[in-house]
Amino acid sequence: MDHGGTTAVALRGLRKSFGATTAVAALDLEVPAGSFFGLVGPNGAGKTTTLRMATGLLRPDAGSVHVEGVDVWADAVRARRRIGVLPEELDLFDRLTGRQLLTYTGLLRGLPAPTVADRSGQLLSVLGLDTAAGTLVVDYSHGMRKKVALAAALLHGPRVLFLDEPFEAIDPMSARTLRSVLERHTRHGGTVVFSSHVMELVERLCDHVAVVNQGRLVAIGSLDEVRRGQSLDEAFVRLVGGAEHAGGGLEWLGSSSD
Amino acid sequence: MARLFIRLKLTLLLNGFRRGWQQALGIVFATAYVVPMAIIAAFGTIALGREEVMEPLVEPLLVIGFVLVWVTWLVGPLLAFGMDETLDPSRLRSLPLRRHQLMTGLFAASSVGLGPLATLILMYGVSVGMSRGPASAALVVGSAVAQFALCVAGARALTTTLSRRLQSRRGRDVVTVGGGLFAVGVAVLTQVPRLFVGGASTDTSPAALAERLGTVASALSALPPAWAARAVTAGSTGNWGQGVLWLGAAAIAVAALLWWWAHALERGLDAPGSHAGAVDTADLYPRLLRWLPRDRLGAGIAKDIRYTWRVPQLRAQYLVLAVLVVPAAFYAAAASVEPFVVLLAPLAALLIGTAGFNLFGTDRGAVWLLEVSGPQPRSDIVAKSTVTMTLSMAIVAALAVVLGVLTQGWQYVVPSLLAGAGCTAVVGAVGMVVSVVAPYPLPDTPTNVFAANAGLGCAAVLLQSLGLFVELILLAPVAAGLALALRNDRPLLSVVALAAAVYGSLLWWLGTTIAARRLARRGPEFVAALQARAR
Repeated sequence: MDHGGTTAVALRGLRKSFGATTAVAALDLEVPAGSFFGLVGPNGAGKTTTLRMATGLLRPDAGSVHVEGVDVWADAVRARRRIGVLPEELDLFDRLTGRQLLTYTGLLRGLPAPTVADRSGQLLSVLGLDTAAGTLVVDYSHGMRKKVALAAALLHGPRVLFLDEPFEAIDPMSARTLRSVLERHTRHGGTVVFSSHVMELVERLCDHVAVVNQGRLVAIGSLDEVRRGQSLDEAFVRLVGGAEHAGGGLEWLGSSSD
Repeated sequence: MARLFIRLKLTLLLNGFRRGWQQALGIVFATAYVVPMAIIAAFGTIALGREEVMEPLVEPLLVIGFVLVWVTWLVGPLLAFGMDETLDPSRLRSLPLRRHQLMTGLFAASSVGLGPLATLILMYGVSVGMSRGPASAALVVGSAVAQFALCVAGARALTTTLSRRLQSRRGRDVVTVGGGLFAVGVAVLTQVPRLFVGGASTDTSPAALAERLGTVASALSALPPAWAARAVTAGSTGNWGQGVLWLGAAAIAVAALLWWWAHALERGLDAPGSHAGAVDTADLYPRLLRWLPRDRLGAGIAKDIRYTWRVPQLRAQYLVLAVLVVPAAFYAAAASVEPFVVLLAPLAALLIGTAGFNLFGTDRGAVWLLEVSGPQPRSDIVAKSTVTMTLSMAIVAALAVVLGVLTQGWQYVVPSLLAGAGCTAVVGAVGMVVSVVAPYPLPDTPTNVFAANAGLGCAAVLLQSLGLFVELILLAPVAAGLALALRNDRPLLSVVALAAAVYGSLLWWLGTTIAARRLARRGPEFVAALQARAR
């Protein structure tokens, strides 16, 4: 099967269980090259598990992952040259300064030292971290950690970026910076796959969307194909089946007098 | 409120079993170790109270014992991997609890657990062993209760006072390093009298021992637990007046600690935590290591050199090990040992080797970056092992040279260094394999030093003990070769030491290969083991 032309990421029959709980159940998914692809679903839908398997961080029970035609699990080194990852947990080598972290990441990736220095400086500047480049990452705010992690993910110029909840818990200014960097990445032909449950954001940024629920794919396609004339939020509720609670009970809410 | 907190504490303790096999195993082994030890100590105390010949020893031993238990309560929560959420006042900040409700609940939660159980067993032994009739029992039991209250109130007051400071990264760093040095300082100080005073005396009669212990006990008599201990002895010997006075003093101390705790609680709950903003403009490569290659191996070494100083647990570990060289040298000087003692310097590698049993523990979940950047396990492992072994070898070399100077055993320094290199390499090899077979994250919570990690410490100790056992087996041929050469043919010593270095290098290569293959096969599982939250 040729994934090289128009498909950036192809997941085939991807499956993962933790004990008796099925996190991802036979997921098939194709991400078009050059797209801004949103993976949406309610909490616990299997988004993070899917992204971890797609990036080689979690071994699937079954199925395959190809990035630009390269099997992530059979040819790890070649596949990982093509991808950049921003995980949800933001576990970083945080006893290094921001600049040191980027230098370390670049050298881990096998980039020449001058290239690492040059790209690190540019990324720190664009992401507004140049004044904090000498501060230990452990002392960064959440938004700063997210930005430096994004810089680390972008440093080697990956073709495909996997971002797990990149806009979670960051301020509007940082979100705007992140958005602008990601848009530049897709303008240059890169692909972005990101998970989120903030529908407005996905609607604003993405041209393609996949909706997962309980580890299964319930819809995939261009934004318009998935929305079918509704807002993404409404389409999401329709697809996932989360009817609004009628509000039976809970009459005691707001009744505390002391 | 007390019942609620006790239930919460018990639930959290039981949940420790569900957080992974290491923690479950750790809890089981910690219980299997601590409870019998406490029972033995309790029986010892009962026997102490019953044997007339031991009577002169009772008061000094009780004073020293009570103070040791109290200090363990004070320092333990600051040094241990963590305590539990029930004891963290900042987690309860948003609840509408009055101060006395909070204190009752936290006091109750503090009284539940393995440490409190061991203390209660010990206090039971004191009560049974020292009571001589109903009036005596009332005073003795009252004093034992006062001692327990001193422990709980003291521990709560100190941790609550430090909790704000501990919420900043720098505060935790200082406490971690300071705590390690404090612990080794106490250990060294307890050995000094034994070496310089106890070593000179051969009189081990109870009276002579009582005199020596009495000196230590009187030095500790200003501390509140000593008052509770003196109340116990007064109750046991029928000195009611003195007993009541000492018990009264201990009760006042409990009240003072409770007041301090209440005050700290109020301030701690009102004030937000502070965060340090350290600034460091240095390059990844330290100045002296600019010559290292700009590749994955060089970057790994540079990063781990920086981590050795910046990760407080590592800093404490190496400072403590470096400090241990001093008493060893003093011991050699005081005991006027033979020059060949220089050949014992490589043994330090074993001690230092414990730092190499969890090479990736300080990286914690960040190891995902190694995995996604295209795994090169051999480079990553060699980088880590190189840094650990270099530090280990530096300490071995320092010890060999110091012992050489003190014993005039210069001729043994070079063989000692060669054998030291061999031992360091063997220890490094075992460390690499253990590190990839059973990695675990060293806890580092950003805002809460009290975070639960029950049992993990004990599991780690078990694993390290197993590693140490393997190291001893692998090092046995080196020790045997050196001993034989020393005894039969001293000129052969250098040859044997050189052979030890070659043997160590071969095992190190083997260890690297085994560890790298394992890591290449099980990279994602390795990452998951170091990511506490990965599911």
